Amino acid sequence: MREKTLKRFALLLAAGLSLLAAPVLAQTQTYSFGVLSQRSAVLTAQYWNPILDYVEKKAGVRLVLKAARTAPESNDATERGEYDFVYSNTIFQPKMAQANYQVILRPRDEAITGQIVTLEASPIRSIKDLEGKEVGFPSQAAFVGYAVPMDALLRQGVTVTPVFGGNQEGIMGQLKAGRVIAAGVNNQVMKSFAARENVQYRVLWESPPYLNLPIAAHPRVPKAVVEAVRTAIDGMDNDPEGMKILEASASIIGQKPPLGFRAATQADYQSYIDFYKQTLVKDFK
Amino acid sequence: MRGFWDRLPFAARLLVTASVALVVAGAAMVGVSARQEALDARADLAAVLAQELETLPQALAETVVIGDFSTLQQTLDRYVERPLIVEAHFLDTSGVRLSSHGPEKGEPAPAWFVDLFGYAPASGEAPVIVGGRSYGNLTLTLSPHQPAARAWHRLLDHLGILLLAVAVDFAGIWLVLHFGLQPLKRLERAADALANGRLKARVAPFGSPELRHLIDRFNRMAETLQNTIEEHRRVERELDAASRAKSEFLANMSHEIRTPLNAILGLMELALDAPDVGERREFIRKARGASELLLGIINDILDFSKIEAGKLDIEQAPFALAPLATDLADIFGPQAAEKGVALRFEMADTLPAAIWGDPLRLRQVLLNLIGNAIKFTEQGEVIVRVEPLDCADTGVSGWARLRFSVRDTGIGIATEDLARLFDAFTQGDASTTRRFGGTGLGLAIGKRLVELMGGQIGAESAPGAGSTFWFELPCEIAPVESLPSAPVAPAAGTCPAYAGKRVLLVEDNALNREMAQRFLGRLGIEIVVAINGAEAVGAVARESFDLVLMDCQMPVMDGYEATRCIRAAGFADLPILAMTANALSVDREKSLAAGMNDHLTKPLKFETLRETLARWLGGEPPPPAAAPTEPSQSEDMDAPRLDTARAIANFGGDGELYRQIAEIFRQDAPAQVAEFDAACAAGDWLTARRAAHSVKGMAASLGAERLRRRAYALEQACAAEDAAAVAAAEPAFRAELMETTTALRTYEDNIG
Repeated sequence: MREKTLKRFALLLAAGLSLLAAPVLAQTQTYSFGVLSQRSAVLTAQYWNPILDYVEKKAGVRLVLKAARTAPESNDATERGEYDFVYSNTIFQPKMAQANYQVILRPRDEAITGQIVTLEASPIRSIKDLEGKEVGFPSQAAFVGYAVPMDALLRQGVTVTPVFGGNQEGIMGQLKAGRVIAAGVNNQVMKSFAARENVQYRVLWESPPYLNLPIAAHPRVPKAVVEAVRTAIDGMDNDPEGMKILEASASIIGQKPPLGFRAATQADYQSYIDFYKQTLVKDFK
Repeated sequence: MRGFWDRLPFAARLLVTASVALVVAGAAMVGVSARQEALDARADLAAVLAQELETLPQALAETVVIGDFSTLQQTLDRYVERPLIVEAHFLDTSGVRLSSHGPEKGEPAPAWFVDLFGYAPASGEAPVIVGGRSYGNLTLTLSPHQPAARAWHRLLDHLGILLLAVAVDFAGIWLVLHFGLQPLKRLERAADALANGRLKARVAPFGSPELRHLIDRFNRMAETLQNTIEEHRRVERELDAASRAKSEFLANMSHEIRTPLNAILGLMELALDAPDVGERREFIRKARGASELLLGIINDILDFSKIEAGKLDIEQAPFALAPLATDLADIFGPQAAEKGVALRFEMADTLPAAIWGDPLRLRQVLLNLIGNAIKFTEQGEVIVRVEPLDCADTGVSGWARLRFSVRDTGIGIATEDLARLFDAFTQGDASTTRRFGGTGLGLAIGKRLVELMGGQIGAESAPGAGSTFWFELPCEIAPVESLPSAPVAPAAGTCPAYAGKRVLLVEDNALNREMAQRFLGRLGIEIVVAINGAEAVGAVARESFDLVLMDCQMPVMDGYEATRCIRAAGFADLPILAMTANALSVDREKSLAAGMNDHLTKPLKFETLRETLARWLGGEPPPPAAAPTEPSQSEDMDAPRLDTARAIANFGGDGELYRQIAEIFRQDAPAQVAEFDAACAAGDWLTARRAAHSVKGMAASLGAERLRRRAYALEQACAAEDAAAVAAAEPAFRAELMETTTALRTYEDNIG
């Protein structure tokens, strides 16, 4: 407890200092901000660009959004360490260890879970009914969308044929269209999607909670910059202007409060690290 | 230009005008349409550009955000293949430029067209902003080539349609006109035909209503023209015929006139040369006869001319009908008897005693009709009938329509000749003229006189069945009291008792003076002569007279003036009778205005003079008696042997008739004499008397006064059944008969 408080105080101090220094340090530098592909790039940009503008204004750091077409593409870029900052939960995969992204912020909202869902009208009642069927998943790189539900299926001995929709909303779209009978999804993304797209669905299985996607920074990014960014984003929900932006962005994808991010560390995501050590799913990307 | 237009036929004018109008209008429309299309294209282009610039960034946003330039390039490449897009550029915020150029599609419009109508490319740019952040600028250029090409083709199409329209219009108008104007060609031909004298040229109506009306009017005009020309030709023919008839008549008449004139001249010559007084007297007497004949002919012609010129006046005087009938009976009786034709007068009982009218003209008409009837009848009868048709009041006043008819059983008249009977200058036929002579004016004059008297004349006849000539006159009934007191009957050679009466004869011409003196002397009147008006006035002042016979035209002082002086001198009651050659009623009025009491026309007729003197000197003429105590009558030598002129005058101037009667006399008289002898021998006084009476009648007709007296004496003797008287009268009668016959022959020879 004391250690944490101390750490926090140190961070705050550093943040305060760097806040003073940030403008001088970060004026001419542009850093890339990669986002795991969960939806269309346009929606992603509509969500993140206002936030990044806010960060630029507050922290003096210009962050350029990098959105990939599909989650695997995002993961490939993440694996290669192309992004300076990244908003993704796949950084805890073993193959990402090389890039060594370090968490700096976590969402204020609750943890997310992985779910296997089906349309309300579907005859499927339990995951056992899915035996031998095709089940949709965002992508092989998706954590709560693929790894977690698939792990559950494997542990229960249900053999399914995975179908990949590119990203979260991609497969949700296929579910909605009836192309897949069930899908593995991120519960929050699913909720947002369903609210937005007016889809009635049933949860067949739900995983234990995992924290939602963190914002992480590559080691190459200067500490001052990192701190500046962290401080700026952390303080958004205290700032009316920042809050307005958060709310606007949330409304684009149907995100529910609490909004915004809180400073965090790698330790907050230990659960992910542990999963990856034990999972039966071998082909996630 | 004006000349060109004038030379253009109607069809061409219409075609030119219509075509020019159509081309101008069409070109204008096409031009305006093309311009509008260009403007629309420009607007469309701008709209499309705006739309694309609105939608394309969104479409590209995904790729742009991802930063997938290759995909973006592909997208742009695909994009510029769209119809209007010719260029698309994307300028990234980091300066990366992506460009795409589209191919030119299709056949471009001609450069001049594009320039003329202002077809220009449209360019615009739009930023790609996602989430408030600009990723770059999208520039689009749209090409007007396609719209321009479309517009160009449309223009060509429009021009094609315009051309087609002009062509069709042209053809249509030409066709309509060509066939529509056909009627005009026909009208033209018909008009030419008319002009060339083919009066029956007409056009059958066809074509448009206006042309039908025109054709109809043309036909009517042609009809009228034809009728008018044919009418003119007919009138021309009639006028020619009339003219020819007139010329013919004149030729005939000149013969008729010259013949007696020659005879007169010849007789005058003979008279001058004849040593014997008796011979001289004979010649002169015959000359007188010829003169009267000539006078009759000239009277006819003059009468006719006067009537035609409208200058003949009908008198209105009261006269009795009965004496007229008697007169006519006396004239024609012997003539008819000689021919063996019965002459009867049937006067209706209901006839008014006296009527107003012109007795002279009425008599003239009847003379002609009866004369004709007798002339053309060889056997049977001639009936003269006078009857009223209707009268309001036959008694005292009112009007009566009298019908005079002369019916004969003569040779009749053919139907075709009936129509021309009353025409002037025509007789039944040429042969009629040769057989019966005459001027041919008798009936014509008769018709006109009847019509002038307000009546109608007509004739009915059939060849071989005789004829009926009739005329009807409206007559106003005159009171009986209005009749002249002196009887009208002309008795030849009667002498009134005018002993002691003194008459002033005012006459400048010696011959006329001689005649008047002769007549007056015959009447036993004492005569004083003045040779001009002045002498007359002086004579009246010096001596007392019972009557003045005043010539009107005289030197020194004329009759009118003299009369006025005499009247002014206080001789209001003195009867002054005018003697003048003028026969117009104007002169009669002139005489009356001057103060004269009555009017005598020259040449003086003995009878007229006698009647007039009887009226003004008073006293009834004594009955005809061959009393030797009457000095003027005792001389047989003074009684005319053959007064042909007077006889002819009494026949209305028909000398031909006289000759015929003379012929009859010469044939019949011996027969009568033979009968007389036979009757005397048989002691049949009645027959003898009738024979003598018959000869007497003929003699009277012929104007053979002496013979008439002798026959009358014989008749009286027979009536008295006095054989001694008969024996006494016979020789003189026979001698006179021979003389008269000779005289007649001489007359006829001289007349020719």
